Amino acid sequence: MSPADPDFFPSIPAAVPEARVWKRLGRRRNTEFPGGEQGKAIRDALGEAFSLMDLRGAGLVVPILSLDPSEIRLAGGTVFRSAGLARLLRGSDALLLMGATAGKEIMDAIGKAVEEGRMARASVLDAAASEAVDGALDWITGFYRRKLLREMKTVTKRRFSAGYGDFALENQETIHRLLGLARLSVELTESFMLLPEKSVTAVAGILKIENRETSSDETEKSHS
Amino acid sequence: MKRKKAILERRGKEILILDGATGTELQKRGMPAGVCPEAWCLDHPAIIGDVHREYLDAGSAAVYTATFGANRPKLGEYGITDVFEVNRKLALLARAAAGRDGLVAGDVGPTGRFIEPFGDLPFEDAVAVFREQIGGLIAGKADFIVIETMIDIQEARAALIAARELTDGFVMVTVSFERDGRSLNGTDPVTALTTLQSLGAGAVGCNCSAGPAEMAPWIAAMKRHARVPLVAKPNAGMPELLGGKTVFPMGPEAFARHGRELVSLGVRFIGGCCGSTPEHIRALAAATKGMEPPRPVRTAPGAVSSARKTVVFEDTEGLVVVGERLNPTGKKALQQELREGKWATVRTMALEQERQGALLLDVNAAVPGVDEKRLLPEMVSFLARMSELPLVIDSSDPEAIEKALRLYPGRALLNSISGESEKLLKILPVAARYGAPFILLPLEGTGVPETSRERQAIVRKIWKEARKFGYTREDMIVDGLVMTVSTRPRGPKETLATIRWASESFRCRTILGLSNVSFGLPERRWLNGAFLAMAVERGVKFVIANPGSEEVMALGAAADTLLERDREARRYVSRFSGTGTEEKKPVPGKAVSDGEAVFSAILEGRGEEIVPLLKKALGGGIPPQALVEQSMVPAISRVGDLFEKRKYFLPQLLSSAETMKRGLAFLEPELRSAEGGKASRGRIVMATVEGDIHDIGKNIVSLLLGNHGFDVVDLGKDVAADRILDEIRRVRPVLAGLSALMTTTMVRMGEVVRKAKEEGIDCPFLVGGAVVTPSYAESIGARYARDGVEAVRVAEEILDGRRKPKRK
Repeated sequence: MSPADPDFFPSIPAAVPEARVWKRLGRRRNTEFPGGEQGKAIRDALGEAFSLMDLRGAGLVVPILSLDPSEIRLAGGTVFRSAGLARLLRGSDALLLMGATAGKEIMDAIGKAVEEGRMARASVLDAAASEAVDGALDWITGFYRRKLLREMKTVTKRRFSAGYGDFALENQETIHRLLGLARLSVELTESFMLLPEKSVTAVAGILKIENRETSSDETEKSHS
Repeated sequence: MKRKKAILERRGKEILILDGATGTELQKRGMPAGVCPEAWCLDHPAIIGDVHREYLDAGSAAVYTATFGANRPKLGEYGITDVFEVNRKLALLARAAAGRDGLVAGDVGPTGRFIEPFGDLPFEDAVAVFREQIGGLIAGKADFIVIETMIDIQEARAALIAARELTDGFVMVTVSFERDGRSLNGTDPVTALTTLQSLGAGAVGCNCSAGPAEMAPWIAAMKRHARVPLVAKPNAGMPELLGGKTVFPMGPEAFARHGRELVSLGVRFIGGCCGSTPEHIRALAAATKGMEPPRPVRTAPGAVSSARKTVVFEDTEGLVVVGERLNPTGKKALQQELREGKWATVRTMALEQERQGALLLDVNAAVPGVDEKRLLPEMVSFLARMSELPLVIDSSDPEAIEKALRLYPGRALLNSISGESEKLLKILPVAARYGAPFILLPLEGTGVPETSRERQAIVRKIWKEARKFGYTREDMIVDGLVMTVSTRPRGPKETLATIRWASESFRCRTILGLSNVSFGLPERRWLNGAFLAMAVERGVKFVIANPGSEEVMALGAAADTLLERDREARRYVSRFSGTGTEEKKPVPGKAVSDGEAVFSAILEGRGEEIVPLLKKALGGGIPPQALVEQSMVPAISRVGDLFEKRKYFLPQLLSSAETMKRGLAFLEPELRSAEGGKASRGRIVMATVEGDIHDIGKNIVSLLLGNHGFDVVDLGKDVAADRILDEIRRVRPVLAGLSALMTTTMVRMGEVVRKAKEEGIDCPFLVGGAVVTPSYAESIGARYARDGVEAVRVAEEILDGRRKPKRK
């Protein structure tokens, strides 16, 4: 049994709350936002960042053939070795591979801002792009959650990425290939980094949902 | 198909109960995982018939055909191509089960594709997909069509347009919203309602994705603006982990209780989605029996929408500015870009106008030599993707208008419809077909009506025609018709009289194309501003103007305040009051010294001011070194302090650092000549290690080190160890900084430090990056800095040869 072809999302409308970008840049809740020209320049940079982003992504559901404490065998022959990933996938009968990119234009704008010495602007563009690709992964997760709901399945809340814990970064190559990320103009370097830089991949589990055949007092109370 | 009226009248006295989840019922009856549900149902007609009958027996008045995925793209995944027949047969099976009394809803689900302008499936291809499916459902004797589980407003529109082009029967549309109250593509409930009810949906609502409790606020929000009945088909709660299993936790009694609440909030058609069973429907039917069906509270929406935002006219306090700049008339550069298919200026203009306070964007695509029928929909498509603001489609070409309105994923305002008979009869039906409100231009083909009285007659004429298409006054905005005062001195008075008449007597909202009044005259802004204030007093609601014009925005805000259209002057105060804590405002009567002014400019990141301030300070006799030591370095140190205390965040730190850098660059020749050429505290070599291409963190550190008097030699990114060591040998720095973002490249840092030691290079190393930790730094014999401010401190320690306690 081979996995199906990946789904491609040529335009992901992930909305990124401003507050998340500011938080990534170190703003705390009780820190007042700067006023005057400085504040305007920072907000303008954020507005421009969103307009420069070209969020795209891909997703693929792959059936799990076997799941050991540190090895996951997938349909199509792929094997992932990671105890951390195996723990995440406990109870799942399939995994969801996801990839997203903010595109080249935002990276070019960041590079240009750095070259021009406009580091404040570069930092805002950079943070916005990072939040946006995270948001894109959330969106892709939401898409599959929606799609799988009618099959009485859902996606795990947590997700894992190559290069974290014991899930070796080298697995990025397999994920890149299975997701067909080259189609989204995302390349992989020899050191397994994705280009453009604001590109990410992740893995989540797919769980069955059961119907409650009978209701319990406890459940009725909790939903009254 | 049954007409809309028949559906609503038949069930006029009761809540119409829909069915529940079908997939799980089929699985219980043996449908295996992974098969095509539609094909399986056709192979097992008795089973699907059984499921339909069970829901009908439980109290459903209508059952959905088992055709959720019966569209060409989805069936194609299973190699099935006979889409029409699949739908027809499955509809007939539902028809047979429903008998005479039950209703059959022809079920249309998503294709799984994303549709232009948000995806790669052309809009007309999507319409064709749905037309094929709906054609089969109609042939299979479905009583009405339900378009459900839509996450993309454009897909919902394509399906609805397909349905309306095939039948004038009843069409219901339900959207799936996420926990944040928006669909996956960002559409909120009111926006979905505004767009779909104006496009001809007979009922609008939500299904799937949430339980009834989560749906309640969405229904309540829609109810205020709905002129069609509302629909809700919630899941049996939100999936949760119970006893080691993920379950839909809500039982029938709780589901029914919540169902009553949804009806009391305004739902007329109600059923269940994922996790619901015939028992849920039975309980729901019993619980809602006898409840009064809610009636829509509105007759017309009075709103426009984009894919992600609605502007409800009555909810907007005061003047609404329609940004006028997306009009190539007289703008040669914009015209050229549009001819070349470039969008940079369009994007900039749209974003600027949004930031400047426009609530709607006027879009005009009349470029000489370019086919407007092609360009207008392209512009609309582009703007729909990159701006949230609803659009005003500005064209007099009926075909261009139709293409744009058909494609636009929202409810656009049409600018405009005039009294010229030929255009009126061509454009009005197009606008009505897509539910578009319009600006009513009191002009006929015989020239400009000079007097208000003449304009009023034209308004009445257009209104008479518009009513035939179902328009109400909420759907029209009367243009006062602004003429240039230099050629028509009485013109402004007649326009103002028209505005007052339309607002007070005709009771319709009004609009002005403001800047026409001052064409050809100098200092146009004063005329525009004065005219605007006068028009606001006469009741004008909308103005097509440049939101970047301070006079327009400020005088408009002032006029609103004076006429009680801005409660407690809140918007006025908000417009003109500043925010922020660190701006030092001059104390009245206290002079700020030149040194203090330089300090403040760096503290507040006022890069444009630093050089003039330094010039003034030098001119006032302050030596350059004193400026650096007594004003600039203390300022940037204070910024570092504020950053460490989390009073400043990174962009503030950096704009201060940029200001400092600009100031130092200006002072550098002075400093060199004053000190005999040595202004640097020492050199620092910086590099991102081999294999790593991330460098923004390194660049931030370099900037701050430069601010504090170090000469930074930046080798860039992906730098091999040998190159780093060669440069260290060449420049003999006080330290070398290494950056890496990945666990796989971080190891290169250790290699560089080890090689340096082996080759006898005596240079301290400083490391940093997202994955680098103090313990890793220690393990390879390097110092660690979490951020640029800490890097400066470490560099100074190394320079001074002091060992301070490490920061926790």
